[in-house]
Amino acid sequence: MSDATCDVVRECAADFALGALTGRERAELLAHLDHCRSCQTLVGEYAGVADALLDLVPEAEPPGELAPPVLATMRPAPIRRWRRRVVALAAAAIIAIGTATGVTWALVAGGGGGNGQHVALHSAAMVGSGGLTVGRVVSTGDESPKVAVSVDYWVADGSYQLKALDGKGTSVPVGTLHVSDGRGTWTGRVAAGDHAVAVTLVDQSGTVVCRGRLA
Amino acid sequence: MLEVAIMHSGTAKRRREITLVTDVSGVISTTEFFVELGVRNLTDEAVLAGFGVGDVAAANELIRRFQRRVYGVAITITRDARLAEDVAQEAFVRAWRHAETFDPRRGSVASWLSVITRNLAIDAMRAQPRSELVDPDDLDWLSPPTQTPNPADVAVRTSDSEWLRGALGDVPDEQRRAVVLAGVLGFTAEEVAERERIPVGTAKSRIRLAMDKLRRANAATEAAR
Repeated sequence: MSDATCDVVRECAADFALGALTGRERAELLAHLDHCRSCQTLVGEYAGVADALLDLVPEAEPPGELAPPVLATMRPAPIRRWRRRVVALAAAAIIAIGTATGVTWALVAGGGGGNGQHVALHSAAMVGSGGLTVGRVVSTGDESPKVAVSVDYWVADGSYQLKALDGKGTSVPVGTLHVSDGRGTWTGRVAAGDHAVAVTLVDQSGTVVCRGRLA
Repeated sequence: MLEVAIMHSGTAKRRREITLVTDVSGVISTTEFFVELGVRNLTDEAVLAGFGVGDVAAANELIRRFQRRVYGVAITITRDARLAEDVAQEAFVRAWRHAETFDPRRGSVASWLSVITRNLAIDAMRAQPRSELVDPDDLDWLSPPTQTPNPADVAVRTSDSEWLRGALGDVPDEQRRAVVLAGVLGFTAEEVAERERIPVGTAKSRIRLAMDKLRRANAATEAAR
């Protein structure tokens, strides 16, 4: 795949921002943007206009509740009646235990893909120096868990390496979390082989800024 | 000399913050704050991340925050309440399934949801036999205000975009129609050309000229702030 030139980007930046390029054109332009800061700025300005155009659309009150049907889609696929009662009782027990221990659990569809598999959602605080809660980590808790980490307090702006820790204290990098205006989020999967029990946010100097327990 | 120190503690649901003011003789004042931390205190990005992994509280919160916006985009394009409701629901389901693709560096959660909704609304309209997409000239909210606006109307608009409403008023009609067709209603240049009965090159040119004028107007607004 060839890389677009600055002239081509200048010509196509508006179309790119409006989502009007073909897949190939888009890929070529993105390849150029990877290493051209001035074109990144230009495209960012056009993207701001494209977003603002939709921002002009007046809001409107929906006639009915949108949440119930959306939440219904997020639930696992129907299960046989004799199992339903067992699952309900188990869910109640999990919620009761979770509430008592200060940890929130919920039953969710596996990995957000709606495949109907039951998994326990694990949510815990990201804890920084002095026991300060600086954010949250949520994990689907299955074999190759999908993990969301968000920090919204105390963590300085910058890029942090997100590491998964196994039970022996070995850490494996799983991604980068960018904090801007004191806030940042990261979503991804932790490989099954990592046997992660915790995630940590590590700054450029290698200092662990905060940590959240996955199990 | 006075020293000020802030100490934090607390749980995931409640954060405690104590400010100590001391001088050489010791502590002279303490101020204690408790910050309630619920999903309502989280950023849009954090709520979306929770929604993406199936957190029900995050799902309710995301829908509460954005349902008027999402439905507004859907009803503007479809002009059919029932279809718009279906589109709005599907937009949130798509957001749940694809939350991990959201990149905060490319725009806000609100804009991301609006684009998802717009694309779904257009697909829904195209799937309907004999459906007619709305004409840009019928979108009276795009016009710059000619008289004192109704406060109720103003309240439902995004104040940050007022510069754009004014800038659109300065763009020639044919360019404004082209950029609204492309930017709000999701038309490709080829579709703009067909609808406006002009060559594709002319359609592209109108869209680009309008976008360039709006970009410059935005830059001027930013510089004046």
